[in-house]
Amino acid sequence: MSDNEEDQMEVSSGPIHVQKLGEAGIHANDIKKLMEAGLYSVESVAYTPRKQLVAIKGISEQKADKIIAEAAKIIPLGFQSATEVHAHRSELVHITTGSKQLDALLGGGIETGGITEMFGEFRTGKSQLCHTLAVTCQLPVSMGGGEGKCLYIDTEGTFRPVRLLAVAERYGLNGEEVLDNVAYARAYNADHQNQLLTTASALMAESRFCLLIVDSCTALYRTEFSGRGELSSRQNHLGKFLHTLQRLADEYGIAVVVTNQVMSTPDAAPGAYGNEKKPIGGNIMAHASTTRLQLKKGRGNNRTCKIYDSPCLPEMETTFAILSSGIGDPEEES
Amino acid sequence: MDLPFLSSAQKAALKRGNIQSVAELLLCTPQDLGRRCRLAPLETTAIFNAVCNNNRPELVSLADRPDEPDCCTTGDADLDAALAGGFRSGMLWEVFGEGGAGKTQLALQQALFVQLPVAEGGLAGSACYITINSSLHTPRLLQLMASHPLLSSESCSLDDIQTISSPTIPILISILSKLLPDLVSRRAQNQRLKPVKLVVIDALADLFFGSDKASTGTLVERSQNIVEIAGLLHSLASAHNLIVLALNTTTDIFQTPGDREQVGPGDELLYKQQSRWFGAAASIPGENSKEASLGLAWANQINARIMMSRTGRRRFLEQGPSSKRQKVSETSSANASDALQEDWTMIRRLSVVFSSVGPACSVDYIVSASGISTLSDGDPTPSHNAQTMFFSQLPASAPQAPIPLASQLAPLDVGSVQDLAQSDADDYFESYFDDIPDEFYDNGALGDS
Repeated sequence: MSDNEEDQMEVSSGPIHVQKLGEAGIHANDIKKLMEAGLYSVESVAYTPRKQLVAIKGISEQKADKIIAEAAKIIPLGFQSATEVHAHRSELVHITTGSKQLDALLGGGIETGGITEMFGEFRTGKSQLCHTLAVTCQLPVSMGGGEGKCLYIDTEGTFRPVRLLAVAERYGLNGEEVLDNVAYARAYNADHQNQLLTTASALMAESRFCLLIVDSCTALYRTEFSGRGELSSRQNHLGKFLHTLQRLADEYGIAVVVTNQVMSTPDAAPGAYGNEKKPIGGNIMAHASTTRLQLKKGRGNNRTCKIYDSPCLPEMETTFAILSSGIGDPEEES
Repeated sequence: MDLPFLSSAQKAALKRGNIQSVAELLLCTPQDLGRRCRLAPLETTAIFNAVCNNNRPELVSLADRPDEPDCCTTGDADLDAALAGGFRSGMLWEVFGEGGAGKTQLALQQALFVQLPVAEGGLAGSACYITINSSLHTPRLLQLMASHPLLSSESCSLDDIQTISSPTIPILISILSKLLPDLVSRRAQNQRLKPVKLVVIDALADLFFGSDKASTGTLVERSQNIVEIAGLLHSLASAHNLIVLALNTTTDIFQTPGDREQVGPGDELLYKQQSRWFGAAASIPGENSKEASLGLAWANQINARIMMSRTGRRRFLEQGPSSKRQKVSETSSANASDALQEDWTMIRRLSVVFSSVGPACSVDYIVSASGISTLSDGDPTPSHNAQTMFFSQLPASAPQAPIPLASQLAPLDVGSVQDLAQSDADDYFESYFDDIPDEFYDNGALGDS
């Protein structure tokens, strides 16, 4: 990579709007079609498989080739050294969870630019953590927030604005503003849930978002697809959904938090291979999430969070508490 | 291109086809050449014969081959032994395993160890890390550098790891065919820079995420892509003597009742029955519940396949700070099992399913702050010494020769702390044996019949 290109990359931090393709000779109508398909940045166009572009209504194979070629010109492809990546990575913000112990476990909080998955039984604090994060992501960076809005996709109908107000009060934020900054959508079926991400990328192209919550990611899949016959189509669908989530996380540098349900494994041999509750979603889910957290019940309001899988955190666990003002540290035992 | 033995008409024809070097000419099939240069088959054959007669490949005696170091240590003596000396260059290695098994850990660790000087077991090279969906985890690299005893900031640095993201197949192909060879030759020319010795793809299967229903058409297309990528990787590996490490994901193996039927001597073997020999390891019960994805097309391309998996076994390792121990005794019994589990480290298992340079074998390992380390109380080669068996990992069990299971189980490895706390240990182990799937015993049948 020449020096010239390196400079360009540093300048062009943040997504380039897809309108830029217009300067390169792509017709405005085609750009509109790309935007309708959820591709709002040149990066996303360049990184979309050709097959998907052709699948967009009104984009022929020739057009797709031209669009990809133009997008590739704008997005230079080159190697970066790990030192540069590290410098870029150190700028990533972490969103506080509200609990000091939990933040310490996660190395500062929920990481932006990746998918964090939380799984556990009912009543283990998954939704409560989501509610707290929806508020803390609006805090200034100095207070452990991300200075951005939150997008909340709810599939189980568990979203309670009252909880957000309670958390806002704790941080001294204006309740109305906090609620204004949370974009909420209820998903009713798996296709709808996937469709919402297209709308999500439109919102993110317009204003600064820093957190996307999907609570819960797999509930609809669990009810809509049943049995082994539909397993393959379910996993395909889920794989696409998670792939889009990862794309959004990369492109806009947002944190993606998804919750997941668990299943017990009655037929698993006790012994060598697991007898505890396992997250659902299979291999697709396991490979897609960057960090996986297992939540377990504890005494009273206390809950345990364990790192199940992470590229850079050791397998550890800690406790946190669900308080009336969101997630916090457990009170000292006397 | 200087080809005095060709006639001017032939040269003009090659120019028309835009063929610039002998290599390019020889790498074309005669049909392609005929089409590109618009020549009759007879004429193309004449050109080929003329060029081949004047460029005879010479046979080289093995004794004349330069004796270059070609094995890179993994930082762990037992793991090196299991891989027959470490990661050997010029080969396409596949590492696959379920989410959280430690594939990325191994790859990151290798990206650092390849930088070590030859005297310390490295290749004094640099690494090229191609990511598909994720991005390179540099904090973990720094942590490995700081905490692994064999690594230091003098011997390796982040500057010698190049990374690029390649979210689609066309991008990966253009990286492998243009950008990467450029990088390799640029670094090879510059004396001050370490030459590229390791290429990692993390993780290959992400490129083929299911966007379509599996049909003959999409599967054929997938196979073509796999073969094209693997071909590029092979030519890179052999041309520049690189280690290519491709990470792969797993798919579950489903048992359907029909699978258990015995195969008669004359029957045709189903793919499913054959794939368990190369798709997954079966050194311990449960390990063969998952197999590598991407199918036979990919399995045929790789030189060595390594499987990593999580086991439910945990072991108490005497390295935690003593304060933790106190905490256990102080907490109430309700929390005791939780607290205990914290101190028990999960044992994972690495199996070489097949390798062109060594035998199939298995080792147990753990992932700690200093990276992947095997449990260093035994050797990975099959051993029937009861003394070492007591503490150590299970012996490598080639599927053909089942070893009595009783000798394979290390009493220190407990399935789960919770289980042990609740039930009598003896009962526990008995039920453990009862639940071993039948095919584990049947593994020999295939070879015999």
